[in-house]
Amino acid sequence: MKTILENPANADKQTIIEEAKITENNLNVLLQNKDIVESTQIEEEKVNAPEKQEEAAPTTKQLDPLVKDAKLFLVAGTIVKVWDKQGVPKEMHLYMTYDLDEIQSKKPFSTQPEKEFCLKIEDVAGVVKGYEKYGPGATSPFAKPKGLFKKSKSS
Amino acid sequence: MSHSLEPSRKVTFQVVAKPGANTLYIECASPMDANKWVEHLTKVIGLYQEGKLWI
Repeated sequence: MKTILENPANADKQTIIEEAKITENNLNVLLQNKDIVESTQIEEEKVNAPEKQEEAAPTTKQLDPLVKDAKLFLVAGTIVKVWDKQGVPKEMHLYMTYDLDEIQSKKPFSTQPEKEFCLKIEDVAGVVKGYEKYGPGATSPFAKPKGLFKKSKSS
Repeated sequence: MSHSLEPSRKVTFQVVAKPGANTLYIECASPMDANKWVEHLTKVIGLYQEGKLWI
């Protein structure tokens, strides 16, 4: 082969044809090997595929319908009265950010949340219903006369 | 004319903050609303504390 490549003029037609046939055979063998390698790769991928599916599965498994409902409710939010430290109520739209990272509240029809009434989820210690005190030394403005306890006009 | 103190009949809940942050004191219009807030917030905060809040 080398002699033919180096001096093509000296080569016979028959030797060129023979060499061409040999190279063709070699190429065919290489192509067959390539097919075999590709088929084995595909089989390996098929074998490994279930593991990959298992890895991807938790994202679908975690879509608990209860959590979905909770997210929908919290992201949408509602109009509530939020009480400031002085015990003065303000009508606000309370909601959570879409990534559930922060509880925010803004005035109805406003676009800007008020920082005073925003709370990041990492800063939340707990949720308490009613007037109970939470934790040692915690005070609630609901217990104050100017807070949730309102004066009634009774004679 | 004398005034007496009486608690509001509105349903309330508190989102208690850790030291350094402001606790939110919230009054809802209906008991169902407050129950939903408490239930869902508790769930989400629980998931966050367990490290399972993936959203």
